[in-house]
Amino acid sequence: MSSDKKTNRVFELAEQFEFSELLDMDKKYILSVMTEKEYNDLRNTINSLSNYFMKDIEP
Amino acid sequence: MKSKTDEELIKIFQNSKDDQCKIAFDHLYNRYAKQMVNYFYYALKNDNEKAQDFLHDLFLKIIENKDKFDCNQSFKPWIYRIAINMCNNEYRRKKIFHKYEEHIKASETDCDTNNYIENTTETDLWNCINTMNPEKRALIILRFKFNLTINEMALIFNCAEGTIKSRLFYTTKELSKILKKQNYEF
Repeated sequence: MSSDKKTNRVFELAEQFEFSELLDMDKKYILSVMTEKEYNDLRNTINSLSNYFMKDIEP
Repeated sequence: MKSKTDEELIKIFQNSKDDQCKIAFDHLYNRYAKQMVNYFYYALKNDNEKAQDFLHDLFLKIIENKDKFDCNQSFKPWIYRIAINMCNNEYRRKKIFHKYEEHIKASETDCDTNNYIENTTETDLWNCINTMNPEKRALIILRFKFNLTINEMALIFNCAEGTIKSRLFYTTKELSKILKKQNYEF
């Protein structure tokens, strides 16, 4: 699988799941691309962005 | 008119010359004005006044370019594409102006000039987003503020869905690094 396809899959998973919620096969998949800590950082950033924009600050 | 799709409305707007044309345009305006002014507000770094001006200009562009719209395509990606191009032009204009200002400053004093990133002292998420380049910022705003689908974003940026996911991955990863550098607490 190309590295782009791998990163796409990682992004899809990170948008939806905490690392602990992933199936074992997905955990293995993630760990073939990045460390658990890097995945958690990515997931935290996605969550922070969603929460930030959910506050619905409007002009 | 209310039940009509965006594409049906713009078709009426393109082809009618009577009141129907105005009504169709009003419907499109009412459907999109709020989300587009919000987009400009974020994309232009919270400049409300400029966001309102850009909204006005955006709908002027739609009136002027209505015949360029292909009714077999979706309207939403088209309007966002125009908005993004307007913002990109603005960033370019600002960048040139900023360079000019720096040149003037440098010729007046010997002070070091710091760039945008180095000037960021607040560890606020929004400030960190604003240190990123315009395309990355647009990706973040469209995905996380407006919850646009990957498919819609691919149509806006005229690329494959996989490319959008990949760009989102690298953009989010970059932001994650910036946040860590700024000791941002998740």
